[in-house]
Amino acid sequence: MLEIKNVSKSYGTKQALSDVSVSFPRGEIVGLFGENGAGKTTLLKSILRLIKFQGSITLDGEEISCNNIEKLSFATAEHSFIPNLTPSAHRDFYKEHFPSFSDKRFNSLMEFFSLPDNKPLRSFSLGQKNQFEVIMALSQGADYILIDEAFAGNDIFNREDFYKVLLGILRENETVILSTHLIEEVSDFIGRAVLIRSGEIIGDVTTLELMEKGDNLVSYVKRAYNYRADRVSKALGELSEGE
Amino acid sequence: MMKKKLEKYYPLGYDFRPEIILTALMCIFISAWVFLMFRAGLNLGLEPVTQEYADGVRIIEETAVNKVPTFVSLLGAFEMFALVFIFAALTAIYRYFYHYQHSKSIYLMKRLPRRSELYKRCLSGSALISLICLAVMTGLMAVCFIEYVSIVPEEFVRIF
Repeated sequence: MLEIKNVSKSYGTKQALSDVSVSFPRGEIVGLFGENGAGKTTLLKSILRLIKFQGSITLDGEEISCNNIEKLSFATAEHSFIPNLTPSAHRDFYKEHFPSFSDKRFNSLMEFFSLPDNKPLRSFSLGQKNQFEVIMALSQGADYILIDEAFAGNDIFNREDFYKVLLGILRENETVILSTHLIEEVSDFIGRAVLIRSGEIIGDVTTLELMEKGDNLVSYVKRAYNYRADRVSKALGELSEGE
Repeated sequence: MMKKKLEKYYPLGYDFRPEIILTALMCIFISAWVFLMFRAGLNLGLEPVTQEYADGVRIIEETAVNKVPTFVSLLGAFEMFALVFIFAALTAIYRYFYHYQHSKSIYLMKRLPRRSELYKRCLSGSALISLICLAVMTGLMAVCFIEYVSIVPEEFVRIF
């Protein structure tokens, strides 16, 4: 269980996270939704201890440290691979540092996405770089796979492929926390949605709960964000009246 | 083989050869400059206390023992090697920020179970540059000492 308790983080005067508390049991695919600057990336970076924060984040009751950090992996749109290295060199490095690294999963995914094994990452297209970033996160052998907007730049078919592969390969004890804007696209793949706005959790619901209420994720998110459907038509109306 | 061994001590995918070449060039030029300064200082120090005869033999005045420059007093130019140590420190900073170039590989390095890996890969190269520099300084000092004792007659040799 990954437990986040009363986590706050500020950048200067801007409060990026405000007293956030949420927990993630094993075996879930969680969508972490929020607009730009809502605090999604800050939350993921806090979990990974890439930034300092106030509060507590524990994994199976223990603070995240070098003793259990291998249970967390990370894929980010900023890319955390080494551009001058080839995929095979990455595999060797990961194997050296992450004993649970899955060669089998790495090879299958490399083959599935048809990525070249012996070219440096810097020569890859943006889409291929994104794919590779996610492949490494999935192959590390982590229990919690944190994915932060890693598909910005990939086409819809590619993303669909990825979601299907994800569902097919995940083990029971693996949890994916998927931070994304693409709510409609992932609504069929996730089991739970956590909504974040201005550094606060404003919604947390499982897709099962929504189904039981006859609701759907997109409507739930729109309600949580007080989305006004008439906003566009009203604005257009006002604009046309002015002319 | 050597390259493979060294790769483990530098950031992943980092080309450390320019750094080694630059260190070697700095050491060569600074060594040449230091030796020239040492030799010039020695000549300058000996000039007032030597007499030159027609046959070219240089004899130091017997009363001039305190006027002959000591070995250590001729080593001032060794300060130039500080440039190499400054370079070593700057490369450590560069190697750290290398992890922000074209990606954020710093995220990977910071979440490794072996936390020292990042620092090992950023600092080892600087330690190597410093060791090379210290070795060159030691060698050069030995050469200077040999030069000093071969020029200054034994009874006038003073270290400090």
